[in-house]
Amino acid sequence: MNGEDNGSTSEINILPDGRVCIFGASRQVLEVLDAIPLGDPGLKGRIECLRRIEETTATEGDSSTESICVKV
Amino acid sequence: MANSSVQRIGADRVELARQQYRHCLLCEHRCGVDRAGGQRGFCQAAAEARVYRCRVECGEEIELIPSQLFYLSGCNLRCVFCIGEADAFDPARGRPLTGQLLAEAVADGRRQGAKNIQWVGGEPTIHLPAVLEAMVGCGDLPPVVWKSNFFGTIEGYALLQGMVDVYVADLKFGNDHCARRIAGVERYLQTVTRNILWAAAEARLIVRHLLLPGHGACCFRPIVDWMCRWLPAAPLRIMTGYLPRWQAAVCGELAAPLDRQSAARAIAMARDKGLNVIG
Repeated sequence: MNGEDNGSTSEINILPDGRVCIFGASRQVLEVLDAIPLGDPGLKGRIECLRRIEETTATEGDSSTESICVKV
Repeated sequence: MANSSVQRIGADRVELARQQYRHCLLCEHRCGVDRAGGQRGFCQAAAEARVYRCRVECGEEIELIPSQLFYLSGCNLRCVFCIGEADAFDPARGRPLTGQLLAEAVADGRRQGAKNIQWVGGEPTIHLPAVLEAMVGCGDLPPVVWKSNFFGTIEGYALLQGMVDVYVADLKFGNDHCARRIAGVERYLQTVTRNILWAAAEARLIVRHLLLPGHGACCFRPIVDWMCRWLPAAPLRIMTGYLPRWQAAVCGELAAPLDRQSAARAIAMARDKGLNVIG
């Protein structure tokens, strides 16, 4: 599926109190948001988790998907 | 989970599941309609599933990301605040789900680093036969995540036995009155809690609750109490990003976003009760 079926656009809503709500966040979107000082420790933790997954995959040299549980 | 389990379960399970299209009892509306023959029940779904969106997402529960989500149109609830809106409720939206579509999408998702596939909606349970058929016809599958409102029947969910690695349960309301008023369903609490306990015995379970403005005492607190009693160790994700969408204004208290203080109090309360609150 691609193109009009992909729905790859993320939806970002900024609430009156400054909180940011994201619907459909790709890694790239999270990294863009990480560049903004939102002060959300959960965001940094999420990006760090994705980086560890990427490093682990690169080290193992395969795209093993047997484990889906990643301890943060 | 080895994808060979999906293959072994295979054709017999698909055939059994497809019988539901002749007399649909997949969810607790128990419409009993002949979807294959053109009849429509509460969800208005036909005898096919349609995917209106497919993408790799990183905003899901951390242990699941990156996750490739398949959004199926059509739902058996009518939550007035639904963020999916027309796509969620109109089962005619999107492309028909087939084994070929799934295989191509899964290959693409793997290239993007997805660690699993996740069936979401709408509500995927109303499309269970079509999803089973697509998975069996797909071949090589990563681990499977099933995100559901858990308003299905036990006989429906039993069709998934052995095929799902993780269930993600949206426990939306803490009482039947709010469920009736906001989502248009009866017997909500008994149905959903029964099914969630079934899922907990079947596979890994993550429970989610979207905090609704004005529903801390009537919904969130009973959910916390229930979790403390029945699933104290299950991961609980408390979602604080409620936004008034679709017809939320119909219920006055849902017409505004959840305030920051309510969100913080809710999370603190759940943690103080010893629940396994996750991000």
